[in-house]
Amino acid sequence: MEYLHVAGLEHSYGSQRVLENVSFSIRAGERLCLLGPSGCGKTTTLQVLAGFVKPDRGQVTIKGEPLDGMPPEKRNIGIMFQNYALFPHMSVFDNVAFGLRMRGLEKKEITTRVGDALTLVRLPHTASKRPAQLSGGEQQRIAFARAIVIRPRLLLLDEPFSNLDARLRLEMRTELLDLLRELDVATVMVTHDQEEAMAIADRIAVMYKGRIEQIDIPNEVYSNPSSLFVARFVGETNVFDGRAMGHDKVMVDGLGEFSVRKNQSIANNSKVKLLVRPEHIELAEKADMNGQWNTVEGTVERLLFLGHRTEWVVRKGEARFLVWQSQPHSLMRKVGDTVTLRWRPSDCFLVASEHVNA
Amino acid sequence: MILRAYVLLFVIFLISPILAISIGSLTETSFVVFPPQGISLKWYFAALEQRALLQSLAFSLVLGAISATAATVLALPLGLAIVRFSSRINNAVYLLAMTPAMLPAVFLGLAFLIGYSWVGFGGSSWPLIAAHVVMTVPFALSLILVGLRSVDGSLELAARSLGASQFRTFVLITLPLILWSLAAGWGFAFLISFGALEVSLFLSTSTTVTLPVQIYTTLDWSPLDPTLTAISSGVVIITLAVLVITARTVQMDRFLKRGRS
Repeated sequence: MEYLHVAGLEHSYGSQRVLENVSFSIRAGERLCLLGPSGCGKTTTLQVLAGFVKPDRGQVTIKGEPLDGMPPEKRNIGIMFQNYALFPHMSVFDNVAFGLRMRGLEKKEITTRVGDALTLVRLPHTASKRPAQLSGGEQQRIAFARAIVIRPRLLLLDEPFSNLDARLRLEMRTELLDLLRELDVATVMVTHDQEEAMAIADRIAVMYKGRIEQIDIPNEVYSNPSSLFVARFVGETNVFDGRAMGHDKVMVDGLGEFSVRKNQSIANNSKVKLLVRPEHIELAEKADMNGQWNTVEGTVERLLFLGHRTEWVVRKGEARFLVWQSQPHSLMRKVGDTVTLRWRPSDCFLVASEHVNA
Repeated sequence: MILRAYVLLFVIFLISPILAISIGSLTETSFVVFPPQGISLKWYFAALEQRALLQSLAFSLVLGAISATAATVLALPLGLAIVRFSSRINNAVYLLAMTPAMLPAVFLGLAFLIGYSWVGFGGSSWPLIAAHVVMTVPFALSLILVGLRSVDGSLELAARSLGASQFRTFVLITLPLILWSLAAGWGFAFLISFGALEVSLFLSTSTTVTLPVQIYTTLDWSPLDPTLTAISSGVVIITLAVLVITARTVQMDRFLKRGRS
């Protein structure tokens, strides 16, 4: 059952097209994340939903009711802004109460609901403080309380963690996820951080140059990227140029032939890119000749010990492989040593070279 | 070290004439002399007895208050338009509003005199008020623009998304956040009006004499009258009071801004 439906959004700023046929829909209570680099149109999409930007074309409906031309104050959409946008001249209580007062609710109800919202974000003792007296994490929780106290039909989160330091970011990520699950409110979040997107979202829409490149559950977006751009933006990937041989084999220039996961949409003998994630490549003692694995022999060019993993760069001819080993490897190798790399055919895939945009 | 000495010299250079006037006004002699001979406040009392001087002071204060208020009220919507819609016309309007602050005051006074007599306003106090408003608008406007530009746009969007109409957003969010700039703008407009001589000289009539005009004309008759130094140091005190109050309100904003980051 569709709850929010966005159909064919088109928008330009002057001569620059920022949205090209952006369409998606989400179910009640679902969390969708718009993921992409800056300038991909994700923020504009959010502004269209909020009513701050009127799109050139396209329609937004919630439960079948069109929102076109409806001013932001009539939409009943809660927004948590990137910089939180707490009113600096008001107390925390007045900040959270603002939306309820605009709705003309009774004083008693306002007090109860603000109290409940502050309890929900575990900050009931801050009611009389000014936003300036709160820490970054606390400000974010108040901004969240202010956005959900109005019981919005839709919740918009704009880069919710970008203003927090790394440690707090992880903490707030789980906390926000718990809150969103508890509230069961339809949410559209915007971020450029793929980890945040995968942690929070039920589905991810990867955007690039004003278009949605792929929209799917996080695991699919990561394991089955539809384009080179998605593969590169969501996680690290080794990319090699080659030519398809049937649907499950590829000839890579200078490296040889490899088996890959079957992709029916790849035409035989067409130019393709072979993609292998660095964590799927293993360091092997000897070349495995039984054909279960793809193998390459190369020279260690760089070794970085990063604590939770070791990063290897292995070179063969012109090609370089990025390899991540999560376990301290039994192989004691130094820069300059020869190693054998291997990976499963099911862990690598092809994308067509034609619609490469990255 | 050298920079410090330079700053010190600069401050002395700026402040010494003001100090000289203030200290000189304490003299017991019936002419201005520095350093003063003896210490007394008698010239202050003498100033209080000069009705013409006091009347012009009162008139200048009222004129300053009226024109500063009018300038602030006029500059606020102008500032809003300039900040919200950056069109070519608004750019032109901005430059036009700012010109009185850049034109030589003598020409401005002459222009006002000719213009207002032409319209048939001559002889009343309206030309003076109107001229002072035109003259002070740039100062009110530039401070109000600083205020408006310091308001984070997402605050207004947040208010809208929470159900506030454009008007309520302005009243409840924008206005409180720029109040300091309105006060500061008013203060500066007041000071400009209060100290203006050239424009007022052209437009003063026998019933509308501002304090600077009064001091200037008295100076013509009795250049060494210590009453003038007494009233001048009184004016310095008024000016300092307005400046301190203005600075205080601006400081309030710094506090608010810290809250935003």
